[in-house]
Amino acid sequence: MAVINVEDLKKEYKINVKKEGLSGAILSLFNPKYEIKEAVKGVSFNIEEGEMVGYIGANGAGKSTTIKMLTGILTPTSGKILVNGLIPTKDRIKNNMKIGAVFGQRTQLWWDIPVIESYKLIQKIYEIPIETYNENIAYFSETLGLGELLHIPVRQLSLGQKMRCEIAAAFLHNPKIVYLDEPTIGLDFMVKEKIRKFIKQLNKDKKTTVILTTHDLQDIEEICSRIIIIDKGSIMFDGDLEEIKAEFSKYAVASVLVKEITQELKDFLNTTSENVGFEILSIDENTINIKFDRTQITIAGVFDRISSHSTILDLSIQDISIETIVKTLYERKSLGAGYAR
Amino acid sequence: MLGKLIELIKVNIKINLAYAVNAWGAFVVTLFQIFVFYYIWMAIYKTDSVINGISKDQIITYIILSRIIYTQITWGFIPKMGRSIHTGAIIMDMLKPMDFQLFMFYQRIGDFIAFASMTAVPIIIITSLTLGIQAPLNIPTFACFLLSFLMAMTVSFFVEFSIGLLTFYTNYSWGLQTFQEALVSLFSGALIPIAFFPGWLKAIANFLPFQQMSYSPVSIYLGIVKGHQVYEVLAFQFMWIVILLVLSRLFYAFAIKKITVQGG
Repeated sequence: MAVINVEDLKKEYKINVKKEGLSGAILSLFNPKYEIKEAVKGVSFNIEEGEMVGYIGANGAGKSTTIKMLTGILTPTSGKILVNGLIPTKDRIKNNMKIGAVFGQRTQLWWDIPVIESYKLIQKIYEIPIETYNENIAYFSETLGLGELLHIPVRQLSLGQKMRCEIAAAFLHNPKIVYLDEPTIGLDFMVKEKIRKFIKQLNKDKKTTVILTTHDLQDIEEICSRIIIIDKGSIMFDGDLEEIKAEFSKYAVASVLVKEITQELKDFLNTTSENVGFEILSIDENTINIKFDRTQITIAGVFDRISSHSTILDLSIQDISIETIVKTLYERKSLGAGYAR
Repeated sequence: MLGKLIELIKVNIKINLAYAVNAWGAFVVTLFQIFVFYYIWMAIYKTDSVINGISKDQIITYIILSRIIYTQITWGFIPKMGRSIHTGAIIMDMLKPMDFQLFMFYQRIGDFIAFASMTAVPIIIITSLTLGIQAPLNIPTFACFLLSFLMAMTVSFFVEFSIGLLTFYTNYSWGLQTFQEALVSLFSGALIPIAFFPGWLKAIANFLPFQQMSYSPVSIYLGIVKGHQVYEVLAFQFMWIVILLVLSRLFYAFAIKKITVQGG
């Protein structure tokens, strides 16, 4: 059974439109004008127990709004949400018992007291059995390296330290579902690694369902098995990450470093790119990034074509990255190809 | 349930201790106000020893108790709630598996205990040595005062909570705090005892909950109300608690449906 069931979910905001300038500001005070903005326009999906879903989209695409409706903070304008069989806005307390959440820009820890004091309070508020609590504290301290951080007030922690403590707090009561809204924002590579490992481990050990929004597609690649891409309030793609990677695996990206980019080479690249199965992604300085279709052209073919117009100094090939996939999906959508299912 | 209560109160006391300067501020400001009020009232009482049924000794105690209460009920709970709503930090509180109002109430109790021990008790000691505080009349009256005082704090919580919720609409709490301070100063009797009000103003004050926050307990303590009137006052306070509990919950349920979380 799906732990999260969303049907035709919509959210509209009423935005106060301010006129420009001082006189406009004063006018708006007496005659406020409102505009309706549809942040989420009829979204539907099901999420099964233990799934790790990446929920991605550009800034303002409606990600956070969806997450906030799932947690029960925001009331949907219309549509249905069932989480563990409960309506989050109706059964707030029961629902909150079973979920955990991290919002990258917020803190659920008390700012002025040592982290461990916040954890003790969470233990009481969530009525966590003391054995479970002790077990989790020991386990989380080890995997996230909390150690001496536990005795420092939150306001004195660095961003990375704080985020590790936040993540631990969200998992402390063994929630069935954890919502992570940009948990790795602004963190360095080492901390990101730790957090990703931790999330994967908990999903394996406790079958925690994880919904993750992020702009760091590396997070998605390492953590998630499924992605939902949302754009302008509608779902653009929903599917298995491996599947979509397989679909795109016929593509690869070659970075070619040439001695010099001549006009002749440029003209050549521009004229033939369409029909021979390769596409110029970018040209920076003397490096040309080319996306090519392995079924239509071999790497030797790419090499040959360029070397006939310039001297190749270096060449590297990568499988297509998740970034490029998402970008391609966005482009398809804007071309009207439609990929939502 | 009790575990949560105790732990939340403990944490809030610790938070208050982390801001010891704030507690000292409340202490100094209140003490200063008491002395200013003392000299003003002594000028008023220069020729008469009893005005409007309140004696000079009673007015001194009245000033001390009502100024302490005034500081307690205007010392930052609305801005705290307002900030949390304005910055969107409130969502983390809303995600706790606890009734939001109860969650805030427990924290308010923590604030209250910290205030009582760090500000109220030292002021009572200092002022009773310098200005002189009237001793409790008798044990039953004092017990009624304590009960009335706790109800006064509860009434105040509901008023602060409801005004704090207005931040959902105003996005800014400074004006709301000022608004509450103005209402409380006048209608709670913190500035001037309600016994001094002209008839029409007294009538308005009687229709508002503010005098339940300060005037009721203090007038019980001083014996300004006596006999069966004391029970009437207590019953009236209790009635206000019930009314405000219902209204503030309805308002909260209504307000969170309109919530737009600030900052993404």
